[in-house]
Amino acid sequence: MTTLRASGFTFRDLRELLAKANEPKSGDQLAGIAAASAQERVAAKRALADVTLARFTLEPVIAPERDELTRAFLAEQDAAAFAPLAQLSVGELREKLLAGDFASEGARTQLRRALLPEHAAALAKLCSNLDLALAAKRLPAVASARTTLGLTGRLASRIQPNHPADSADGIRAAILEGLAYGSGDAVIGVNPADDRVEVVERIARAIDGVMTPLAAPTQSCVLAHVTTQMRAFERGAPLDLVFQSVAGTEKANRTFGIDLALLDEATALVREKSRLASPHVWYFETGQGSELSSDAHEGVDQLTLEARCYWVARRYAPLLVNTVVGFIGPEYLFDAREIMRAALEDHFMGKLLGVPMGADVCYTNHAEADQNDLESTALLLASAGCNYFMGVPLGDDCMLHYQSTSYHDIAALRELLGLRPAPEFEAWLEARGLMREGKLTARAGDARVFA
Amino acid sequence: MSDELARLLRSTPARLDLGRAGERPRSASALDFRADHARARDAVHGKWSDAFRAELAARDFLFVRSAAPDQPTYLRRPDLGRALADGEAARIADARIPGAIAQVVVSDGLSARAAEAQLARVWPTLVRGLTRLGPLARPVAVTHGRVAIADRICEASSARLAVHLIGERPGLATAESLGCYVTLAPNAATSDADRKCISNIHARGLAPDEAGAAIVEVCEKILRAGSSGTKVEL
Repeated sequence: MTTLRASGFTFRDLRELLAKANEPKSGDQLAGIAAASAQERVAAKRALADVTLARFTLEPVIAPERDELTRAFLAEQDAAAFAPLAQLSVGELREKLLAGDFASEGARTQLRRALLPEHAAALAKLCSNLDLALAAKRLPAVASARTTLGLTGRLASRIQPNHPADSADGIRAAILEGLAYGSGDAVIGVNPADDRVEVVERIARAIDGVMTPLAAPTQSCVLAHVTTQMRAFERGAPLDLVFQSVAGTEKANRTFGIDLALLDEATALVREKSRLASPHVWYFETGQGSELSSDAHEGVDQLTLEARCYWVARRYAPLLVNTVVGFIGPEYLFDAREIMRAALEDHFMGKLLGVPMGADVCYTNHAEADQNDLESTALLLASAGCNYFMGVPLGDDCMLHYQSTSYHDIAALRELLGLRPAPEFEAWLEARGLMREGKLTARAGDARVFA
Repeated sequence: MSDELARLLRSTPARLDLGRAGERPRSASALDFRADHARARDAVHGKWSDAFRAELAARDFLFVRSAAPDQPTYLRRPDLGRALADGEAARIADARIPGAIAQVVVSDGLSARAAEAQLARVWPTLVRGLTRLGPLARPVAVTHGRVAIADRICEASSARLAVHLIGERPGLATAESLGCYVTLAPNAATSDADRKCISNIHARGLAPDEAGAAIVEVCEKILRAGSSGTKVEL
């Protein structure tokens, strides 16, 4: 292992270099691995720009002996696709990406097979916010089940009709209004307050009781722990997607009560039991800082660990993956500036690795951020081609106690940027008289239209 | 349908049926939202009142401090909120009750108002139910505490179960929601996968009058299973 140098600074190894090359984040400071000064940060970026992609394969940031994710990355990387890129530096690859060198679908696929998650993280560290948006826009990732998500010119949304006591009626009220606003083409997904299997089944029936009679083309999901959902699928609950939060180290995933073997097992079970004909049965959520929060970060910075989450997600051909950027709190992303940066980084890294990436653009009440900041970040991500956002009644999640994007926000972003819902869902909205030529009609926004 | 819809709408605190101005919220609902956010922001920076501290003292709580010296440090340094300040573990150990089945801990967490608003109604059924299971450790009240600080407290008191009531992050619908984390025999290797959580204890969530019994039921199941991890089905 050779040290890395630039501008008079020396970095012990790739792990230290990656951490110090990050834009400022309170989480990296909390972990004690951030650059100590602005000049050291830029020196790290300079040194990183000169590192060849091959070095990342030779020097894993977490040793394969201690982490099953590293073992899977190395075993499943496509060596033939990587060979022509191996001697490129990170700086050179950034320029190729921005120049549009991977514009064809074939080139994109080869690139995605070649890269390790740490490559994606390294690139993000060399990109400005506008770089991240532009590069991501050129790397669409499409996945389909009842709806096709991630097509250029489309913006989908998850209806998130949570209720503090899992009331089926309350959940139904929020779903009906969401549909009336043109939300819900990605998924109707409820976070249960109570993780018991009978509650999951009851919520699944509540979602199905709206979706099926209205023939709304979308997917249903109840975001309990994966083991609880597996039991619900086995018991025949009317569900489409299976959900799990994932982290970027084996150790952090164990604190979530999961490992790759469990995800493999869930995949096989749900592909058999789901009502979907599509193999895309997964919904994953991620977010910078979760590894440090569970004391399982292995000395690696939160951006690099986040990239590893996307690689895990990709392994299971998901329909939906989103960062819940801003949910974790100010100790990891201190304020609106850090949340906005992380949102752009996460979306870029996910798309680069081929993940059909959406975002829960959000903030908590103990972060230095507000609704104005959230709206600005959503606008940036929508312009960068983000697949979907959350639709929460007026943006206030009355169960999880945080703020996200709203049914109104989805409609406003589509209007502002000329984006449309997923094509199957748009056709349904047209048939219901809620949308015409991509615009909400006068009757949209009121659940009484479903009377 | 509109009677039916009215019934559905009554069953949720979600901000529904408020109309629109084009693609944007109407003025009154936008301002209501801002007012609730302002209340939540103020709750994050609040403290327990003297009256509530007196109430805790009357219930024989031992007051301890986490290693976070103040609120700004508490927000940026969760590691300090999970650790006890120097000397506090010894004070807890001194109050140890041999063979204690449960250690109840109450923390301000991210909303001091949560425990202040809910504890009086949770307490009677919680204590009555837990006492049926065995002797209780002296209850501990923590300022600037995070979830895992109960592990350190329970280690010091050598109780079998940690039962931690902590103020949740304030939302807009309520800034007074209490969460409860139950952990069996916590130690240095305990992680969040080893806990069971009963969340949303407030007037419009899990009713505080019912929460005590719900927590006791979870404790009984954990004791029977010999584990509080994700493998225990509740």
